[in-house]
Amino acid sequence: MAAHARRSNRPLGWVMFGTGGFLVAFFFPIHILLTGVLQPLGWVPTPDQHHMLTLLENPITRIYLAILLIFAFWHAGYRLRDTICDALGVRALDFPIMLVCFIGAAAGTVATLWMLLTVP
Amino acid sequence: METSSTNAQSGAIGILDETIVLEIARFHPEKDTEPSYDSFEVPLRSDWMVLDALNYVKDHLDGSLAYRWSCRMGICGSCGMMVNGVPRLTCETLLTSVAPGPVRIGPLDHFTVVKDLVIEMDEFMGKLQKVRPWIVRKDNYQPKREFIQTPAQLEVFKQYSLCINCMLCYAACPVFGLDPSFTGPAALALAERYNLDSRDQGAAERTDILSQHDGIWDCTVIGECSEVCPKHVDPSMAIQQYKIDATKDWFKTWLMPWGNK
Amino acid sequence: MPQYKVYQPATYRPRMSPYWFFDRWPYLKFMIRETSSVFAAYWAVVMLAQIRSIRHGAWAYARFEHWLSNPLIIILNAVALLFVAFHAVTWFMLVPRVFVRQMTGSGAIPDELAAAPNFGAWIVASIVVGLFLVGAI
Ligand code: SF4
Ligand code: FES
Repeated sequence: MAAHARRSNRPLGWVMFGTGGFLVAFFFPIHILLTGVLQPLGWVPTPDQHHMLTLLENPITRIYLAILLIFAFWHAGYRLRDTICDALGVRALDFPIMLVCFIGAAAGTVATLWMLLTVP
Repeated sequence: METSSTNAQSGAIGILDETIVLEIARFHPEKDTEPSYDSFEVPLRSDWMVLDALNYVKDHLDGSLAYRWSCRMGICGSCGMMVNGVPRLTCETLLTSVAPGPVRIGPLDHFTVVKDLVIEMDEFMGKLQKVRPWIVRKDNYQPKREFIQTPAQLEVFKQYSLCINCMLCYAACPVFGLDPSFTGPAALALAERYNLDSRDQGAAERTDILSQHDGIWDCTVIGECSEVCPKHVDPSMAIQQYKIDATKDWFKTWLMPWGNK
Repeated sequence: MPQYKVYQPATYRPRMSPYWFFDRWPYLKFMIRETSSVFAAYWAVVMLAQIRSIRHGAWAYARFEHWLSNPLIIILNAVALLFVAFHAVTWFMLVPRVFVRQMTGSGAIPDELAAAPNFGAWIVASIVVGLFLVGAI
């Protein structure tokens, strides 16, 4: 039982990481391609703010964005924690690094929820 | 001896009338504080493995060279070394595959070097023991005959049981290099091998140990262990599966704390 | 730690180079894959900024678009796209394999076949989201 209690809580983070990994893989490339590259270059049409607001007012859009962004933040936070440890060879500092990454992910979560719940 | 047989076979298959330079890591525990490289020129033969070239060096050029080998057929797992920076079984690596050279040969990465190409193995043995690689029974059941196991039940874990303990996967694992306390690929694959065994009841016990620090969660899926494994054990896959099992367990414990014991 | 010491006057323990991931291409590939998390986080923040600008009216949205049209930002986004796409490919190659193995108890299904549905779904998802983003729907 004591050993049982010492089991890592990684599974929770891992599930967030895994779900986020799928969502980022499926949806981020097209968002970046259009919003980040092709539309600024003017190669594909860019809808005006009014159109986007109508889209945003639809609850389905907001649920989509909330799930996508929140899991993306946790995906990135979980992976970044391990990456920093590996890249810099500082696994001994895992705990503070984890705190920073997860606080970042939590902040992203709060910001996303606030942004989407308070759409006019 | 070797020379005369070489002469006798001159012109035979395998002789290429060429040489290849081996740069071999040397570490003398009584003189050196760190390894350096010695160069040796050896015949290049199409029927030679890198291990044969090392034997040639030891027989003809420098008898003080230390390295391990035994079976010359990829089954004892003792001849693992870094060949041009990649962990390989030297008895399975054709000399021509690394020609024209020079070929760098070193002891397996990340391990403590005892002499030249010989590494300290206690560390690895400790990791194997830690995962309880034997059939655990909760009921203290003393079988009067063999446990019955169907071919299908065997198939589930068979791949993970093919490990020859060559430690190539550890030499390929940067996580082990960065953090020597990491249980590591072969040992975790071995744990999963017993977890999946229909006769075994020790999965919870093992997960108590391996879902802590230094266990499965230290793995960041670099995947090179599976690439270098000469027996296609796929330890990386075993660890990811283990993570899924441990995750299921974790949620079960939190969602139904009463159901687990 | 070695338990046997009698004839071992000294041993040598190698240390990893801090730049170990440049040593071999597979390690560098791993690092590129992991670094995609930085760009995923970056893009999630950009999307938050986008949502914010849309809420704040036409003027704020115009300012956001102006920021996006900066050539340096476009280059940054192109780089982010490469990294995230690399993440997607590695993810689709690996994760379905693990699930297949978990469910069937063996590697009976070839890797390509296990990965194929994901690539199909990726294309469909991209088309649907893309149509919304260009205002076609
Ligand atoms: S898992 Fe493969 S590479 Fe690792 S020790 Fe076993 S046989 Fe060698
Ligand atoms: S000598 Fe036995 S595996 Fe190479």
